[in-house]
Amino acid sequence: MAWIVAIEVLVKIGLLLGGLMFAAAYLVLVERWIAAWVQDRLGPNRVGIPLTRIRLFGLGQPIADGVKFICKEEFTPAHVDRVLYTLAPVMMLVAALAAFAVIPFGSVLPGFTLPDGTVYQIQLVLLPGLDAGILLFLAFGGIGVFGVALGGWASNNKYSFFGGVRSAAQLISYEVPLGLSILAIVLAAGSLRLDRIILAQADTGWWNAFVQPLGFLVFLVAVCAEAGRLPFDLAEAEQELVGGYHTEYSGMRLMMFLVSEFLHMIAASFLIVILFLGGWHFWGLTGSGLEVGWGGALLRVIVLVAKVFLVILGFMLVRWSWPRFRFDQLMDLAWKVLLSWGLIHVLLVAAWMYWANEWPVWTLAVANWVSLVVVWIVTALISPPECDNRPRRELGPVGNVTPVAVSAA
Amino acid sequence: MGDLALVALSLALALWMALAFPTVRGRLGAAIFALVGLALLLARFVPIGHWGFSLLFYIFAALTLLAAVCAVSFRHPIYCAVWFGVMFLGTSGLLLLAGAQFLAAATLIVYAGAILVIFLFVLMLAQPEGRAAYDLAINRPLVVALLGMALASLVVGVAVALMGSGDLAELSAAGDRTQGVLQPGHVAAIARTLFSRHVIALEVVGVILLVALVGAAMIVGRAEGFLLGPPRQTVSRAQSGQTSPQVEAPSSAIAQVAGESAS
Repeated sequence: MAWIVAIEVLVKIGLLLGGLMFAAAYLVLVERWIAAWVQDRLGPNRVGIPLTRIRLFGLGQPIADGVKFICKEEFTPAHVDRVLYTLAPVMMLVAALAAFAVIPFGSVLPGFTLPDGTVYQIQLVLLPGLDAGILLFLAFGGIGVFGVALGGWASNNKYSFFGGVRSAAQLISYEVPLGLSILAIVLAAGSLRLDRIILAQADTGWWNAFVQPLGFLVFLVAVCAEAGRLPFDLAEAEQELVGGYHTEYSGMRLMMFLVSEFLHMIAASFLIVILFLGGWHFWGLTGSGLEVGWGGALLRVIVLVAKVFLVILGFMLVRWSWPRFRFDQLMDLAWKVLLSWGLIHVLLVAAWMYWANEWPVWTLAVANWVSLVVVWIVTALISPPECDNRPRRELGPVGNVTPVAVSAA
Repeated sequence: MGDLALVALSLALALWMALAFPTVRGRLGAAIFALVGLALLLARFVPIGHWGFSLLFYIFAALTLLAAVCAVSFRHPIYCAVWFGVMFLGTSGLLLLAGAQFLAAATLIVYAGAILVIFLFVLMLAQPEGRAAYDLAINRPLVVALLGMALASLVVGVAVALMGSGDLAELSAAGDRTQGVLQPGHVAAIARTLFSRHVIALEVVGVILLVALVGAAMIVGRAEGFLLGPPRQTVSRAQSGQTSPQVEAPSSAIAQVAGESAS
């Protein structure tokens, strides 16, 4: 029995590591294709099979990039703190990979009978039955920040340092609305386990995005900020900070940083799909229970991965659709808008769970859509978005902060 | 109990050396004393459950202790913060081994954020080069080491006394994992305990945190001038010398316009 668990875990780890590294490499190519498409360029389309003239739409590009990273000199500047400088990228990569231990990439495989007669069922998640599921994911996300903050500090370069500090402040701030929106989901599903959350959605056929649109919005923005994708990529803002926290890095260490950023994005997409878009569930296609055949199990994996890929494409389009926030706008969004939205949302869901638990799900959906519209209008009226990018000293008093008159005279 | 006292003494000496002599030689001496203490402790070695479990437990325990000592004995504030973080990783691993998943995850979430804040404080308040004397010196390392170890041995002694025969292996095997906070669905069990038996303590702790938050907002608000009226100095001297204060400017302009229209 023990050996089969060991084999199962090793195979899963191998699948995850291989799949994630492959995905990270080729998503870079997809990202560059999308960027090229948005900007009306051709993008990378030349690298194909080496020593031939076959181009294969540029599919060889990630391999060439990898070889380039490996062959580059790993230069350590003289002014850095060597220990932390070396440690930071490793820390970030390890945390980013460890987060996938709790993320299911399918539902279950059909059980098979062991020689001793027991039925053995494999769940498609590295740590099945982990009761603290999503909390562990948040914990690893919290550790990942250290890589950025320490890398920025150890580089002993003011631009890197700004990047590290910005990232630390941003992640601390956005963890609050993120936690609130997850809290509402956990309340509704009654479990912290991601597989249970998917099952709860598959049972009713109502994905959480339809039932809890307000939470979905808060989660989408907060997770985008946690992953450091473009409207929120102040940690490495190229136009302001050279390269942000990884300015002083090169070679494999730089690659570790870049790969772990992509892993953050993949993990964020998985979470969006699992928490809000029904996980492996699709109406009339995948069924809803834990009883599946091999075809059904495979279909569920395909549905889940396809959804994740679509969300990732969405992330990549967002990157070229919105300009980067200014830092005070970033903080305003987290603390003034998202935090209050998240609180209202949690209160609403909790009240529904307490008083109206017996009612059909669509009543919660109606309440949530109404609250979304109301909250949106109220926010727009009270605190109009600041679109003016002139410095504050030229604008005078801004936003809803009305200064008290200095003197009545 | 005699050997435990000896262990505590040698560990206290090790801690003192690590605190008082931040040189390679001092660390070597500390390591030697620590090894002596741990060797004495090894005489009481009890394998807990499965050998793999035992191995992981002792690895995590050693990591936690080492990181704790490093966190207090290192001179550089950033390294102290990093070791502090490592210590919580070790603690979380121990909790996870014991089956307390929620505590493990919560430890990481809460303290990872807290350490990050400490990190920022260090960056903002302490001098990175460690020039300031208060960053370098540890007050009375001998007293600190002795008192710390006395406290630690008190805790260990009470634990050992409570366990009676001290048959740790039997205890851990018998520790009922199907009930209470260690049951498989134990997050719900923890919540039930927290929000029924300890609900008042929980609320009080929450209010304390809220008070800290309100205090911080008060301090910041006073400086920014939007919570408690204007800050003491609204207009800088250079500005007030040249033009009238900002807030008054619109009213005077309105008065001017009104005067023009009247005439």
